[in-house]
Amino acid sequence: MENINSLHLIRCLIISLLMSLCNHALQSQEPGKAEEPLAVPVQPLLSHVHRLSEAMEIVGRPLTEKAMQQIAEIKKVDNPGQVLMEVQNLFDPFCIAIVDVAQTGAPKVSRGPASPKLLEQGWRTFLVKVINRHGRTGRLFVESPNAQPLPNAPVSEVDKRWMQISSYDGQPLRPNLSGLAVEYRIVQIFSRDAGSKEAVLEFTVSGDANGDDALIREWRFDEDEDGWNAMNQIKVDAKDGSLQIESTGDDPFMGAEVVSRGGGFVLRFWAKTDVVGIGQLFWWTKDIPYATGNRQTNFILEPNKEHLYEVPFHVEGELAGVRLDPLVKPGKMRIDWIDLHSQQRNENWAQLETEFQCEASTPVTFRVFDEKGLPAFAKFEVRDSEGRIYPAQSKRLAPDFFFQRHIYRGDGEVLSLPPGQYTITCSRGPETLPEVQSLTVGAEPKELLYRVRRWIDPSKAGWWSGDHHIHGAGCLHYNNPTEGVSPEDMMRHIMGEDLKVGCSLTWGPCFDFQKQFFTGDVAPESQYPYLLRYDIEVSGFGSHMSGHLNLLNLKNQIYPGGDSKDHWPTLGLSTLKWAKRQGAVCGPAHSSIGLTSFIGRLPDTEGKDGDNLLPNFQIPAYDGIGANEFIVDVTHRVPGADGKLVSAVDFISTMNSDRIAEWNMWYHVLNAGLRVAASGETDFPCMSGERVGIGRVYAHVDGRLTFDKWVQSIADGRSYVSDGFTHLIDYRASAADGKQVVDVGVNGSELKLEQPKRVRFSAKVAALYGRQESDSPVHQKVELIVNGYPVQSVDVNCDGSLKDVTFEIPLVKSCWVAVRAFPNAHTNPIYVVIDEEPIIGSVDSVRWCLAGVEQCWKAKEPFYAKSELNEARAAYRHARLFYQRLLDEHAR
Amino acid sequence: MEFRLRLKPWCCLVIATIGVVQFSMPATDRLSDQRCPDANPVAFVGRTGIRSLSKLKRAEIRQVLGVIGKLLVANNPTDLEDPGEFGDLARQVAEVKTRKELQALLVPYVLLQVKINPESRVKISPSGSEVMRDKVKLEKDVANRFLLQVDNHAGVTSTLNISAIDLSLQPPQTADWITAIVVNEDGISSKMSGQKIEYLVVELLAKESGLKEVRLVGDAGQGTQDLGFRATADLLIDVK
Ligand SMILES: [Zn+2]
Ligand SMILES: [Zn+2]
Repeated sequence: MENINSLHLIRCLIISLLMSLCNHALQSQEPGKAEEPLAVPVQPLLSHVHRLSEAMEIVGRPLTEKAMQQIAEIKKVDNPGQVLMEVQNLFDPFCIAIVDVAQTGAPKVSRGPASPKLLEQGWRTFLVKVINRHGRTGRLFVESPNAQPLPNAPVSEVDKRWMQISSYDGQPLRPNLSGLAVEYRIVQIFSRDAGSKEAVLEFTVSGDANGDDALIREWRFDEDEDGWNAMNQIKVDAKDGSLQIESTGDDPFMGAEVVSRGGGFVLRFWAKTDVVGIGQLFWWTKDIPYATGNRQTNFILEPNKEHLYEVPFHVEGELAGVRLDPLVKPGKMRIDWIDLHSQQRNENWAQLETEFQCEASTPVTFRVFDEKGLPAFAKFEVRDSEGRIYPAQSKRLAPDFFFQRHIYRGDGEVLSLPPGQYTITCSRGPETLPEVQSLTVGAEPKELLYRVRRWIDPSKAGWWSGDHHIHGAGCLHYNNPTEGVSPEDMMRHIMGEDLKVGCSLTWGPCFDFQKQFFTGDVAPESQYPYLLRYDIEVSGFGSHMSGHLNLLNLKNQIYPGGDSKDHWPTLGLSTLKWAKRQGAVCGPAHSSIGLTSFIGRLPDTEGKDGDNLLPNFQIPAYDGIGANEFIVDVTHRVPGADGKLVSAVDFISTMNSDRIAEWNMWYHVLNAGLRVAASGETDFPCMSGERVGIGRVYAHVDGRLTFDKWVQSIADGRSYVSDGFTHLIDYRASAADGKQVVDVGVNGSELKLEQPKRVRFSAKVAALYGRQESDSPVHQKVELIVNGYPVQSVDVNCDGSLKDVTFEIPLVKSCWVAVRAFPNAHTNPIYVVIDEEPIIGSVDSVRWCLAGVEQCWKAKEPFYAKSELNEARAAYRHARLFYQRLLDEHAR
Repeated sequence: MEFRLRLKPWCCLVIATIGVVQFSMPATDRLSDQRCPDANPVAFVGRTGIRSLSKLKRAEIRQVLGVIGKLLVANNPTDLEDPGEFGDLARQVAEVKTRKELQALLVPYVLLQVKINPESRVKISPSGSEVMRDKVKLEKDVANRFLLQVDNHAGVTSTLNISAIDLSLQPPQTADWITAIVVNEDGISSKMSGQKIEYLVVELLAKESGLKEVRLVGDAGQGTQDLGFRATADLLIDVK
């Protein structure tokens, strides 16, 4: 431990140096410590304060706007002493305890000024103030004997064990103390009961120079199981840096040998499971070297979230091994790390006796009705008068997500709230007008009534909203190998956002679990008109490196030759061929990824970039997982369900990644005469976890909505993409003489003219923005786009009303024409074909596509399997010839 | 062990000229036709030779050796005959048998671990290294180089960017007292190769001394919008 000591010395030196440099040393706020000045360098203190405010937001205990303003003001202060004082004035009132860290041994702990109010069956968040004169950088542990596990507890203990306590050490906080002389940590406390309760809070800082809480053993799983062995009904595997555990029966257990003298220990591990129930810890000793029933303790599983498990136990004799029975039934658990600490509470732990007042909570029933008066689901953000979010954000279970502030509740569902004043923001997706309600909760059960008010309903005109790319597993909240959420959970989110169609795509993480929800039809959990269908995103396997693919409306979800994901081809076109043969509707996902860094500009295109850089002629690096191999695949025609040739790609995904890059790719391939639709997606919760349906597509369906009709409209381009706040309904073209009318997406979206003519383009446009920000009207520019460039535009008032917008232009040459409201919405194109001439919107676009094929090959060749290289070469050669032929024809 | 690299401004020219040599050469095969063996830090490894490796590709070792060379060049440009710590490291790296050994050797030099998930979202976290955990020690006005350990599950080949944000400003904005760049020069790219694991080099240059905190933000060319602060790492920096 010499190294640590010298590090401590250096730290102490630095701090004392800083203190001597700082003339603005401040008297400590603590009574009895007035003689010792505390000084904290301003920059790291303010950075800590900023992170603390972020973390409080994350745990659902956000600072008030006033407090945030105060922080902004403090940041302007020059005097370090004043900064420290003001920071303390701001944060001390949140503190349940003040911990003065000693150089060695137990810290000194006193009660902080926070009111010790807890919530029955709910979590409360407090701060702990850490005064750290010695610059220690261990971890602060806060525990309580009152938080010991209940299962199998002696009867006499049950009443005492009324609480749970947990420290929030996740991002953006660091797990260890910073070494700054003052900092704040977050603890959260749950109460089982109402009324006045007593608790002992215990504090220590790890890494004491005296070798205090001695870390006995760390287990890490970067390379192998690090000594943990499967013992019974269990599979144990080190994967992705974690221990992946699969229980196959009711009594799974695994063990590891570890030697230490006896006494108090605590086994800490960071884990995630979806299993509800308890786990058990057994241990054995040198003299009795096997597990026995009287040497075990239990812990409660915290399903569906990352959790720091802390299991205290006491060993008589010399410890020789531990046995973890992580689950008591079949299921899975992921453990990231395991630490065994000896617990020397007497020496290095300080105790603080505290009396808490636990408020009883009152059931509040949601009454939710749609605009027709029918029971509905909606979205609610519930805050109390101090801005605290309910249910406690960081402690949520599915279907409520910890990274969302809001929850979704249906008519008749209940939320328990302590008496008080609440502000509840109610809404149901972008087509509704959000409404803020005040609710006073007393001792009696209460109802909250929310009637949805819409500003628009495109479905009345047959335009049905959807999001073709959402996930029930993986990314932001669901980590491997927990299995993700259920179709019921996905339905709740879809209905709460009034998203008519949701495509929940199974992908890499949890593939083998989520694949069970695929039925080849809409999920049985669907509730008309809300449709949920499970399909596939090729992501994290197969051809993902050349660009992720959304495969919608599959009949079989798994590529032939296996029953999972590891055998899929690496060439995207092969996947598309298989999917199209079964009649699927396909397109690349999160299109802009790989298209936003550039290798240079297409020669001789200076001055040709359009407004908003649409189109532009920078050649992308094709170095990501968006619409990359797309530039090749879109030139291919492959056998469809009936054997006839169809386009290998139906759509390009938009509305969730860099808008310019998405639409630029789309414009260029349209300009090369290729007919591909745009669709809208979110890729929830990967590109965003805020909500499903951030990126949307509104597809027109005749008669009753079915998934088959809806997805066919996606393929046909009978749709517009939108963020839900701008709508471009009923886009159509008519020759000025009125003889021919074409609706977008019908009959190939093609307006055939024998000769140049004036053509009228019309749509019903509505937008709603800026209601809160200002009273003055906000405008949205609505443009008519011909071959990628705007030719006419009107400004539309964003007041939510539906307006007829008409453009009329003379057309002399075949072209594609669409209506755009940058960057919020875009119709699919109508193809105007004059005298049967093919559409070549711009030769430069064709050159851009050809350059893209070359660059894409350079970027992707290393990722194609050797056995598929010939096929890949052929696929790219085909694309090259396709674009080259267009150039040759044009030259002629 | 304390780890620090120094790059004095006047040395830049020297380094720029030797950088080319350093990376035009595969580590073992072409030692004889090196143009400037003394200027080549990897030569020390070359003399030892890369052992035949069962689990690791030679290409992977070469990539790592090249990266160490970049640390060395920055560290001690005037005395390439005696690369000291880095020569030893390079020799040890050339002899590793498993990826675990390799990673263990490099841990003290890793500033950040970068994980790119299959959806190409970037997660960065401070390295597990004891040396870096509490605070990173830098010297003022000196370019300090560290390793980035990249786990690339998306196989993206875009440029990795690291930016430095000062949270103490209102609102938080690009720090003016420190710059962070992923080194992109001859022989070492800030572009990822698409391999599952690789090492890149990040350079920190602090213009003010004192104890400060910086938020490093990683992105792989698709923005950093992320609710969970996954793409950020907050580090205490002690600038002498
Ligand atoms: Zn996805
Ligand atoms: Zn994806």
